[in-house]
Amino acid sequence: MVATEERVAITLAVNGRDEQVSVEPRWLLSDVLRRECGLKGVHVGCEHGVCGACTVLLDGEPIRSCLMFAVQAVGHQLTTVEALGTADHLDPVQQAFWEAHGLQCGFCTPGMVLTARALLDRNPNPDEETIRETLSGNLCRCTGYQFIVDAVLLAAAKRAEDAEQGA
Amino acid sequence: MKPVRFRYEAPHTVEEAVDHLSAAGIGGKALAGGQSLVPMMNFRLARPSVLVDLNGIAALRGITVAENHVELGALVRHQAVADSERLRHALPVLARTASLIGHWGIRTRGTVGGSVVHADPSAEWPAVLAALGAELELVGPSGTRRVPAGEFILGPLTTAIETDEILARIYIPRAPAPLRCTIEEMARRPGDFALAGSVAVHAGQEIRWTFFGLGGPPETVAVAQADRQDEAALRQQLTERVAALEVTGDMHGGAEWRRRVAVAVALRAWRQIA
Ligand SMILES: Cc1cc2nc3c(=O)[nH]c(=O)nc-3n(C[C@H](O)[C@H](O)[C@H](O)COP(=O)(O)OP(=O)(O)OC[C@H]3O[C@@H](n4cnc5c(N)ncnc54)[C@H](O)[C@@H]3O)c2cc1C
Ligand code: FES
Ligand code: FES
Repeated sequence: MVATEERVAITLAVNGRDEQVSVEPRWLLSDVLRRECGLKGVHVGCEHGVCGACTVLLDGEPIRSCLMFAVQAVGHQLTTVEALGTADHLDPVQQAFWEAHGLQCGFCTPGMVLTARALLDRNPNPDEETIRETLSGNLCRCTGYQFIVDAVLLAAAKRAEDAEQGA
Repeated sequence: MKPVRFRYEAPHTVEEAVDHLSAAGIGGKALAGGQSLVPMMNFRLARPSVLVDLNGIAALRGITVAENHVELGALVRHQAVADSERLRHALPVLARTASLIGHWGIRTRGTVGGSVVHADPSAEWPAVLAALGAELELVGPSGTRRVPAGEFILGPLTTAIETDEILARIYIPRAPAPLRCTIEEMARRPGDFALAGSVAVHAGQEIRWTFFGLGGPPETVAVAQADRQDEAALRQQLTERVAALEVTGDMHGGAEWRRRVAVAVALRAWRQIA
């Protein structure tokens, strides 16, 4: 059996936009998001599911984009860190990472921020143990994790405050 | 690294999936959550020429809680089991098992069926399903057959499934009274594969422990219930039974150490159900 090199034209729903891309079936979602969609916030560390740097949200849930083929993502809503905020208007989670020193080199940060955001969307008021368990699949080689946990607690408080002011 | 080229098929029925696998022969591979297969493809340890994606097959989904059994579609994700209120009431050990697997971003994709067919010696599902007396429904070109979970795993990464068969559904019997059953394991960090683990089932006259993470297929030992008040005696009995099991050491610990961990987690499980 000769394996095919043929490309397939697919549409990916990324960050609220439809992206038309032409891909080989073997191309990983992580690579397609980076190369074809230009979303360089998707970081690639290990390509075997261990580090969590490539985390994106699929229909609101965190997944490893290095363990999924782009052709499989058709029909799903994808969210990358680029959708969260802008330099002027950071998402409360990003703002909290900044204020609590939740990053140093920043390699793990998109995955951390997206996982934290998905957690807070499900559970607006998590305790420290829940935060640690939830982020256990995202490795950080710089911070020692404490400041990341602090940042998520701070983000939860900020979001509660924002909600109160909005109400 | 990146996977080799393959042809991608995304069927909507089990029959179509079986047809694709039959036609592809030895080069065909089913893709479920991809949490074990895709890492192997990325490192080119697996090089399928035809990849049959099962994720679009509605018949492989769904959790059913019936009076006498629980039925899981092979494609049910670990996280869906962990989050299911109905399962938490019907068979709480299932939710506990699911929450021991990997991390959130793994559990949202990885499937119960994929875990059983992958048959990693450290995986939780094969042991739990064997301990509960579950049956696996396999669909192939010549029809459907059911295999007891305890007979399905033949060795590390080796099962009774044929290359053109699909695991479709999992049937787990459910006693009328709540089953006293739990799972305990030791891992270096939460979410890592277990270095040794044990599923304990209170089965009336005896307690049965099904061990995993020891290098081979899940193995079950039973000890008569009469001994259960005396932990020292039980530890002695378990130590003797575990000594008779085949155990492989690896970089995380030798065989003797793993046997001691196995006894420790077995006792930890027993304290919860005795
Ligand atoms: C970082 C990390 C940590 C992990 N930790 C754990 C852990 O602690 N415990 C644990 O048990 N697992 C762990 N896993 C593995 C995870 O549970 C996988 O989900 C599981 O082993 C495979 O399921 P899958 O659905 O992803 O299958 P896939 O990877 O898609 O497939 C695995 C194999 O099964 C076959 N297959 C899958 N479904 C079917 C079917 N329905 N019919 C026929 N063949 C089928 C495939 O062809 C392939 O050979 C971990 C994975 C990672 C990346
Ligand atoms: S790059 Fe995907 S988990 Fe490490
Ligand atoms: S900030 Fe460097 S890896 Fe986390």
